Amino acid sequence: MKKAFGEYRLLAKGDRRAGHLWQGPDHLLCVETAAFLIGFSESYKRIDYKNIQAISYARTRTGMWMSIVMIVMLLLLGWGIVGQINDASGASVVLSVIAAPVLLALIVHLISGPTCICKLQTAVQFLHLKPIKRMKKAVKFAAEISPLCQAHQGGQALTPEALAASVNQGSQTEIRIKQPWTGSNLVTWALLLLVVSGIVTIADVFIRNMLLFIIDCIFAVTAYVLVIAAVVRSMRFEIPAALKGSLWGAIVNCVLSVVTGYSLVIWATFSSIEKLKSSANASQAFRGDANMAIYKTISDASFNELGWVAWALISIGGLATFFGLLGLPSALRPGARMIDAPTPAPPPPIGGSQP
Amino acid sequence: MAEVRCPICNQSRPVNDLMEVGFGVCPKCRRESTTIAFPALAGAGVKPPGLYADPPREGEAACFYSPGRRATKECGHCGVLISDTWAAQWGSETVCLKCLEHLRQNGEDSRFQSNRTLWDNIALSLALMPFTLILWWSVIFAAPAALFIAIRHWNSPRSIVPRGRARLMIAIAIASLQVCGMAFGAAGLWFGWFNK
Repeated sequence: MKKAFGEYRLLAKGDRRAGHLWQGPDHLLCVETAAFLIGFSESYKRIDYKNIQAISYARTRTGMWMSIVMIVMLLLLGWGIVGQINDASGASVVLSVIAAPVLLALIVHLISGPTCICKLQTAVQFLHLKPIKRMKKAVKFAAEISPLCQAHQGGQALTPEALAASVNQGSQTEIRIKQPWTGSNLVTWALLLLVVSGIVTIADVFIRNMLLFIIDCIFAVTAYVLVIAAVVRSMRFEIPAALKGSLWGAIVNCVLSVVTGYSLVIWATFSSIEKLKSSANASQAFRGDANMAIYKTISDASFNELGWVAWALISIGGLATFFGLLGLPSALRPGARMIDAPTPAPPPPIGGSQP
Repeated sequence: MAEVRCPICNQSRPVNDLMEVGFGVCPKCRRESTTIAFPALAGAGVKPPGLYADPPREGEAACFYSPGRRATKECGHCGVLISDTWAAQWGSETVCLKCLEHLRQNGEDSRFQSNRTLWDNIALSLALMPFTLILWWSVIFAAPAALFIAIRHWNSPRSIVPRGRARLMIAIAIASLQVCGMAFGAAGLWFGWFNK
């Protein structure tokens, strides 16, 4: 990535979802990316140096938890490696290959220093600077941006005494953290599809039908893709707690579905291999419809054959329906609880006395 | 009263809570944070001055949009004479509010743009989607879609931050191979090339 272009200079670069910060001649350019694994669109915010009131940053506990998780993973993998060191199956080599990137990530994480959250305050917003996630970066950013703000505001950074003395008579402008929720068709459709998908999943466990299985797969994949898009969209707004809970719950449910789906495919693969091996013309069968045999095994499996996977599928279907129904009222009545504020007074007419 | 906010919980607190070096403890979450305050904070809460009547005198130009006001500036884009009420400043340029709106909506000036779609990333993700185990079947529509988007948006603006066409090229290469593979497979099935 380029370090400078035109009149801009790169100040901070985050991962593909965090975006980046660029130092402009008279403003700070915040590039934010709407992404899931890969960025799909960028939004740009330009904040004039003369309007920046304060920069705040604080250490967070994310770094500590990341260290703990990685150390626990390394300990478990190390235990496995030591236990399998004399085993000829090569399990220790596989575990070492898994452990190496984790160890590398831990070293990089420890070198990067403690994590932080950095926010920028203006008269109308309190902007989270997502690319700045480490204390080192925050201190460097503050040191680079402070002289620019001071130069554009014609003064030194304020001392607490000077600020305390500047008690203003007027009312403070309300600072908006996020935009209020105004509803979205995408979110509504995602939740509706989630409800339908959950019902179809439960039905698929009890009804042995190939067509229903295909419909279930299509509904589930579409619903979860829409839910991911809905989560990305809703992040820009201050959404009701029920809607937030339902969307994030659906994401967790999506992960569980993928894990269960893979388990099901693995089980069906082994099951169909056994069936094909025992068939009269095994080589012909393998060459032909191996994939179809797997799908047929899954769709034709009875409740008892599926075992715990059946209960997992019922739970996933039930949770999908629950999360869909939980979020739908908030999505259908956008911001019903949020638009309780009194109607603001109309602005005064233009024209008056010369100051 | 000028206030600063806690970066962790967004709780506002008066600035005189700040200690000398800018450290402060939030009264709500009890977490320590560092705040660097600038002179703009001292002006927080001061209401902007109201608009005063400024009719054009004899021989003076009137505002194009508010004829009851004296024209003081000229729009740098459309050239009409405008009053202070209708003028907006962008960098060193003065533009009228209509031009500002027009420029923002049509994206004619990159400095006014607030968002852009990253078509190169969309094309690349469509091209790579079939490689995921669970979505392999999507190759039927994802590969042609990736190819179409990459060619259709070859010259579209990518990002205001400079980036090349590498993603588009990779997307075209992968999608082309997928389409060729599908065409070969379909032809093979049709003409019976795979039958022994």
